[in-house]
Amino acid sequence: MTVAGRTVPPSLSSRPLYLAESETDMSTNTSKTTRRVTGQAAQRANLWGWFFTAPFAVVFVVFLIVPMVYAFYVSLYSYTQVRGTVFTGISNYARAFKDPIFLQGMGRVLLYTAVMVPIQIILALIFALIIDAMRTKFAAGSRLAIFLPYAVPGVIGALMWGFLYSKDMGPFASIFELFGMQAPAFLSPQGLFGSLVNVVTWQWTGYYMVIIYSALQSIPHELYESARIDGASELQIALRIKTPMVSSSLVMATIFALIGTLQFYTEPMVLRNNAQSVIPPEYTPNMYAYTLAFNYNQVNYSATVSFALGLIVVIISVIFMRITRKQSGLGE
Amino acid sequence: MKKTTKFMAFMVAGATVLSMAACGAPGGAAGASGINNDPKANDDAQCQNTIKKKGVEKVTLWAWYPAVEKVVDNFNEAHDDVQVCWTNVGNGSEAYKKFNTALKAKSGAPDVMQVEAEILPSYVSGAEKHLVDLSQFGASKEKSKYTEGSWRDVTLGGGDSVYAIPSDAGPFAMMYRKDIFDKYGVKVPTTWDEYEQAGKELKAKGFPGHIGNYAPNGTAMNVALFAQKNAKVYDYDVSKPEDVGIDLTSKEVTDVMSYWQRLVKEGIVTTDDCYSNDWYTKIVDGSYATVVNASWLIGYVKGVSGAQEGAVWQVADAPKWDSSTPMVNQGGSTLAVTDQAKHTEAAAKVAIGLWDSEANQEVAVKDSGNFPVMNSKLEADDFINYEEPFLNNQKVNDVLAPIAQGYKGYSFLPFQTYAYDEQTKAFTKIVRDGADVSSTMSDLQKTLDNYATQQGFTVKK
Amino acid sequence: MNKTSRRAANTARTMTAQHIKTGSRVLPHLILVIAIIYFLAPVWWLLVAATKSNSGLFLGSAGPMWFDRTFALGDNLVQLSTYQSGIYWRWILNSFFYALVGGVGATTISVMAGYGFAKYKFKGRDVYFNIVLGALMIPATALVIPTFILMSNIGMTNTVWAVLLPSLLSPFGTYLMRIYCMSSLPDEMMEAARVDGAGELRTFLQISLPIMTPAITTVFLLSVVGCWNNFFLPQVVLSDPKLFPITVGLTQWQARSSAGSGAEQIWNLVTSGAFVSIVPLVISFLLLQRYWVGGLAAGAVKA
Repeated sequence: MTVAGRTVPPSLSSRPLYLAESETDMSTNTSKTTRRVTGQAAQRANLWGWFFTAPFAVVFVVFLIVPMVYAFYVSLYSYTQVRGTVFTGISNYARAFKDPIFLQGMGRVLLYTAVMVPIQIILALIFALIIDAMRTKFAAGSRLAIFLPYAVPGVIGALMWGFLYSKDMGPFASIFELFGMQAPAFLSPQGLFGSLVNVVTWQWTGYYMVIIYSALQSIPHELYESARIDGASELQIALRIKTPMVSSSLVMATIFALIGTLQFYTEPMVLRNNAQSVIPPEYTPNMYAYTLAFNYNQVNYSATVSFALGLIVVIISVIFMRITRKQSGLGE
Repeated sequence: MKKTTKFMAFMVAGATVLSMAACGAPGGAAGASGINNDPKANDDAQCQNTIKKKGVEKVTLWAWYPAVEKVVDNFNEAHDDVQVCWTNVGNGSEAYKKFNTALKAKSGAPDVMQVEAEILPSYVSGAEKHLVDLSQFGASKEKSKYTEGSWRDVTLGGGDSVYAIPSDAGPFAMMYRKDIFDKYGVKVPTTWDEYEQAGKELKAKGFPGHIGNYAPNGTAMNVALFAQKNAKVYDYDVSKPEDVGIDLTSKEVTDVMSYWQRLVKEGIVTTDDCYSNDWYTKIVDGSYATVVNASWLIGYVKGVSGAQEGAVWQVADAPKWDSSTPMVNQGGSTLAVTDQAKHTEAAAKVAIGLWDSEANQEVAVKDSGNFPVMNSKLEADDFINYEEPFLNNQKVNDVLAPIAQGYKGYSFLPFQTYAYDEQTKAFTKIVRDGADVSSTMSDLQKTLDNYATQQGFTVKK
Repeated sequence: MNKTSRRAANTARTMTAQHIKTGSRVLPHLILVIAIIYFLAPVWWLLVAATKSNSGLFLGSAGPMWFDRTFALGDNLVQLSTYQSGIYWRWILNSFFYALVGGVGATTISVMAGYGFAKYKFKGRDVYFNIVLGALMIPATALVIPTFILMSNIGMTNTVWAVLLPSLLSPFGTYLMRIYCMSSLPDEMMEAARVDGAGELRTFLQISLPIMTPAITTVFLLSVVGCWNNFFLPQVVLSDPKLFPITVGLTQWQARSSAGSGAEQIWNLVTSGAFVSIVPLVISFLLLQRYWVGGLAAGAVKA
């Protein structure tokens, strides 16, 4: 069964009252997709459809397709400092998929994805549900506070955490001292993973929360007020009614988080200034591509690494979108 | 509309580039020898400094020396035939990144660029010949003006070619906290053995900090420690541009690494990363009793002097192994002329003349904290007798000038950035994880050998 | 719902609300209090750090989370305005310029494209749109270097165009607008306008645009924030500091502070500069918060 295009989980189907209500409520919004198209209308659609999308197409081709094709072209060559540039076909790709540094970086990023994405999305969901249920000034204030880090540019956020993690400039040493403990070494090999997860969580959770919160706002209140009458607790309403209702925005937020994490770059790159021996310059595939191009002068292999990374990102995202096709509406 | 034109131009460019040979092909857009002669090309260049003399030929410069604006102004004041148009595109590695991209694009590089001596080979090796040999513009005559080591560094192997003009040096010295040594009654070390001993004593007598720090990421600093043992870990001579020397498994290198590994195990030194917030804080707040580093660190620490009351800083020679330990250098910059220089001869004139004036040598010392490489300055009475208030009026140059003048030169690889990144990983394993010194160093040797071979170099044995 | 059941609902809600207030409301409040501390404390640290001198930063008298005995915010601001001839404010202005112009441009293009995708079933639309979706996934960093080389071939590097033009591309904005148009612009309305003799352009400008306002605002805000945060591309394509946005400028200063050779002690400028730079965006966030919620809901409600 669907409510406004979303699949309703079985748990909801057992509550026909809310469903019936919501369907009548929202059907006015749903536009009919099937329509008889006359020849004239088709012509008009062709003309104006392209008219409206043309500027986008130009920018899209110039700043995405052309550089991409060019990057692929570059990746077919190899450069060595002594012999210069020679055509080597796809051998760079063979090298990349055997390159332990690239594969390690990829593994690291997958690990970050597995840990970081659920943390951010779950926290965002919890905050959104609480704030949505509370509807007080305090809740509105919290929403602002949680969203605020999104206003801080990524580089500046990472720079700031670099100071905060510092043993001497940061506050943690004195905070832990209060409890008679020693602050963890945030930028040590052991602490680094958690430290980076924290920076990203701090920066982005609010953004995902707002996405989910917006979706919660658009749920018709009647839907769960009836549940309240039935004696459902806020927690039950949150888990059984609200969460399934916002599944599409959860999927969307997850996809953003997924893509963002697979391209992990800014935070480790900035923190590296404070921990060069702990964060190698090829820590993530994106950093590797950057280092190859700008520090080692290996533009061709760098393009290969970027391309290989892009390929993996696309594959993972497509798989994820396939799995969640019905919720996201992305794979239509 | 301008925007549309740009769009079109971009697409056309895309098509053109695609039909061209691959990027980064050797040779480049510049003339075969990298010599160009277009004095008007820079007329519309954007400068960070204000050029007062209108209608005079401009030479573009990328540099990040502190107070470089003053140096440029002084130069422009004194010259009527050429004016320097300066931009700060970032420090060190940032500037090299910009330069690398400009080289790939075959345009956008400056005429003259500040390059650290250790990075020069990266731009003059194999297919990469992006710096102009200045000997054809009379640079060889300048040799006698400069210290032996700094000049040898810009010849890349001691030949007749001159790939840059040295501008400053980093005499390797020890800054120490006299008050700490006095308080605990420990003698200031002059050798590395004494250093270890003093470290133990300080610890035993209750000093809460450490005598010093070994930073695995201390790129040139760690090479300087090898150089003190007369170990030539990296070698490159521009007369054989396809050969490199890498020797990280010698007894000298192993000795140095074992020494630091032992000191770390004994808890005498820490292994913090240098140039990080924490490292600077620990220097300033008295957590380290000594810092062995290039002399420019003095100026930096001076910047936060007064941070800790009662701190008494002094400068001495870096600890030595024995009487055969040479004077060594860490860092130091040069001015090089790029193969994209629009008017190479004028650019050479700027590179040769920018720092070479009484006024600018004064700015170097007073405002930028650069340690001079010109003999005239190093031997000047006012320089030698200068009493540094921050160091309790110590005649600091009396200590440092002999180091700078005693330095004989050192070599670096054409892929030094890569070598530094790899050496940092190996040193981290040795001092932090207690990894076996000789096997870790031979792994590092293998990694660098492989990279060199893969880049087409022959590794000298 | 009829009146009786609604009244019943209200009573029930009051009852549950009271029941909840006493017991299970403690935990949600606690969670939010912890969240507020977590998300705001770093910003507080930055505020405090902005008021410190260099030595205060290294060895403050009251620790990192409280003000030093010397309150140096004024000095820092003066130094910000004079260091390198006051280039800091130039960077802030540049950021504003890039963010506003890029934001307006990207929004215009996205709104048009989203509308076109949603409301016209033109030939090749589905393939085209799927490619756009795929573009959402391409690592931006992968394209920076090729873009740079292409730009330098036409002498576009080191110009404002090099920053502005690529920021016009906003696949996500387009995606968002398409969804919004699909769910809030009934085809019947457009048909009615056509029957009344309105041209396609007039329908778009006079009928559709007003309805799209909430989503346009959100896409605009997203683009502005995106441009404001832009770092990687400007860092690569710009070498003239006079063109830097604030993100690139500040990281350059940070690098300058920790560079080793040739370094300068400007930590105080990095922290106070970072603080001042986030003030405008934070304020505008506080003022415009409802637009975020309103427009992003569009992404959640799909046709």
